[in-house]
Amino acid sequence: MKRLWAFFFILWPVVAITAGVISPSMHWWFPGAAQSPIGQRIDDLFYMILIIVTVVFIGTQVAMGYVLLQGARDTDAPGRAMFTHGSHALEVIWTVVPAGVLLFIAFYQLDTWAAYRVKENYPMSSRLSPVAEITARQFEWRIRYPNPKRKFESLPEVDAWLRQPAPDDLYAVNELHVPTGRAVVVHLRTADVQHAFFVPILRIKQDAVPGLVIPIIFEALKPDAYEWVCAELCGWGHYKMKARVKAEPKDDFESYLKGLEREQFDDGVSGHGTKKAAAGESKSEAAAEAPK
Amino acid sequence: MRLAVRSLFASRFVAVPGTGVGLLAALVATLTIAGCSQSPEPKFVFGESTGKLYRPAQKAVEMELVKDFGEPNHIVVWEKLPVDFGAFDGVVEQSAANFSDPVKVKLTRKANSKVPMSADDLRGAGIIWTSGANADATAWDPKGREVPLDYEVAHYDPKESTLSVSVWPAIAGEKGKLDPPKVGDKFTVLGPMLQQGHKLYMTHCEHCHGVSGDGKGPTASYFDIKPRDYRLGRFKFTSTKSTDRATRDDLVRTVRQGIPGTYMPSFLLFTDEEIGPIVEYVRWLAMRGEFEERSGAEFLSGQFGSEDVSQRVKGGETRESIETALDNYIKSEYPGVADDLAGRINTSWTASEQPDALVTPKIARTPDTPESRERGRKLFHSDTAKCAQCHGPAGKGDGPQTEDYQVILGTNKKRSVPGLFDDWGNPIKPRDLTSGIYRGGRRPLDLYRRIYSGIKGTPMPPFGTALKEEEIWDIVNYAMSLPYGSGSENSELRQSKIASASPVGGG
Repeated sequence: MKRLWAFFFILWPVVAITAGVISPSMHWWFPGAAQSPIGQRIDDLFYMILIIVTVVFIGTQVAMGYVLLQGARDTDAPGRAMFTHGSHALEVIWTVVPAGVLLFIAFYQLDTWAAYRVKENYPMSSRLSPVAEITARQFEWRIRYPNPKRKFESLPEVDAWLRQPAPDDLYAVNELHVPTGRAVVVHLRTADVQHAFFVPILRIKQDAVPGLVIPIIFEALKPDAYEWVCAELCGWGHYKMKARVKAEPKDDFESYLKGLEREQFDDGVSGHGTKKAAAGESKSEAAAEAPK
Repeated sequence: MRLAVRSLFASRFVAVPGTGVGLLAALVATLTIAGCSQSPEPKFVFGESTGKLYRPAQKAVEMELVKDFGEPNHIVVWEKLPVDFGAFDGVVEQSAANFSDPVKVKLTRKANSKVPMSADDLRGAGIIWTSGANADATAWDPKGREVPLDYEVAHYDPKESTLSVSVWPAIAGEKGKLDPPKVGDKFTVLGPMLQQGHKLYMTHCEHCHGVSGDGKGPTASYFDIKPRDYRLGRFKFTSTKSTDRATRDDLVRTVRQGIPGTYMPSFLLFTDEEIGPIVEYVRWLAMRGEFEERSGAEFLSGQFGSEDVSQRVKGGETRESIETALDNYIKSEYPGVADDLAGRINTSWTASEQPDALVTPKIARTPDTPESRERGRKLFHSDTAKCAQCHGPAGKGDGPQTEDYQVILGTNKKRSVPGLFDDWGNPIKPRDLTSGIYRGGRRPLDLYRRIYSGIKGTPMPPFGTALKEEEIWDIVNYAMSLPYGSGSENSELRQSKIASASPVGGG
């Protein structure tokens, strides 16, 4: 019976490790490989930590299994169990080693953190060509693109654009288009409560905080439509904030903006708008592009 | 070791009253069973207009509504309405042993419908057998009368393309006598478009707009800007002339783009196959509401409101004579009136889908020059357009009318509180034109249409006849310049701090 219990408790770490090992190949819980350079770095960190944790986990579980089995055998022997009052050396070891490991992780990830979170580290060209300003609100994402003709000469000019919209800005909702092949900066704000910009496959997550305009940098490696959700419980309609980031080659991105501009300045006559819009139909460009 | 474990339990856990643990277990068990069961059957509620009627009249309207529209899960295909109910032709490909067994079928879309073939929720859609033993089956109702059987889809599996049939209302004792579907039996599935629309509506729209489209869903109570109550058949942001209804495209645009500045979010990720049925269902709800509203008005004009009746009784009429008259009216005239109402509803919705209902400018937008804006500004303040009366001298939406006591529509009484109201009785504010938020869309065409046709159901009147096209374009140019003027930087949103470095966050 004692051995049965020992094996019972040993079984669970074995189940956990087996599940952990087969889960990537079974596509359990894993969103797939990161599609952005920063995401790949984050994945590398994740896997490094996963390896450390796995080694520690297996080690401690083996030790515990050994102690359990050993204890089960020892109780067969006559006499009283040994009593100890700790071991100073052992305690120093299990404090210093994990502390060292944690310090190593803390320093090792600093670069990745800084590349993603510190604005001054972003390439100047990306900072001077913000792709969009995104305003999260209950329960949708409103997007404002600077007009493609507009060139920002300095950072204060970008800040001024964030403070005061321009008449030729282009507006969209719930579908953010970005060019592939370069690091893009979008500026995140919220019109009401906290939200979070989250594109799982790019590993990009950033809270939108009332009163702040927060830059986010990312690069989509290949053209695709990526799932974009809100990752901060923002109210009863949180689940409605499903949207799409559409990464496309530079030319397609530019022609998307051109189409958006034609649509937005449509007067129903001058052929500004699409053919349909001129005929009076009110389908938007973005809507017309929604996948079937 | 086992002893130790037992004594641990004895000292810690069993000391806690055992009934508590038992209760908890019972609660969990109950929740597991009850929590996962079907939610209650949705039901249409009847409107305030029906509630005002004398009881027998109320019942007549309610019965008429159930007869012509059915219930959310038993939609009646009323051909008089200009709605694409959708229809599938079906053929049974495999005989069944029992009537209610799932059978393999092949469905094809009827040519005149846009119902997506991917429609997967057909539960409750009516079935008419056009051949086979079920084609002219009848049953006996509780009073012993022979009635035709109402078949409906009990379950449909689009992957296996199997379908099972039931009869509605299920007639006790009849099931055994029903003939199982046989190979080659032909049938028509009625109303799959609305059935699909209903399913999506209940998931995405109902919690604000309500089961009946009355704008009284559970989440609506949190809002200061109320969700649209469809039942007047009126939608604010349309592309049509002031007397016309919303087009399907208008509703599609509203669902896709949302309405900025309100709680209506964008549903851009809906596919065409989802949005078509939703819009059709919303139109149908609007027509149902309109039909109810107008039916009520007919009875009220015949002095059959519950207040009218008590007045008439006070005036010396006997209750019996009123009831006889009402009974006569319901039996002899109301069926005709109901048909007539449906015809009128059909005419107006159908006309709104025609190209000449659309507001399309004949001349292009005047170039956006300072001169044009200046002409627009003068018109804005003029007595012809009177924009500043509501929108305020600087376009901030704070004109003198917003402080005035307004006359209640259709009466000569004034409201007890100042300010503007819409046709639904909700207080509303004229748009702050400096905010840069345009609920009906920000294209020049949208602004033109807002001025040309007004905003339906609100005090914003149509100017299509009072103003020349050039004048409307001048006002559009002026209005579109307002968000970029000097007064516009005060908006709270714009005062946000530009973060120097990103704060920690996520999750």
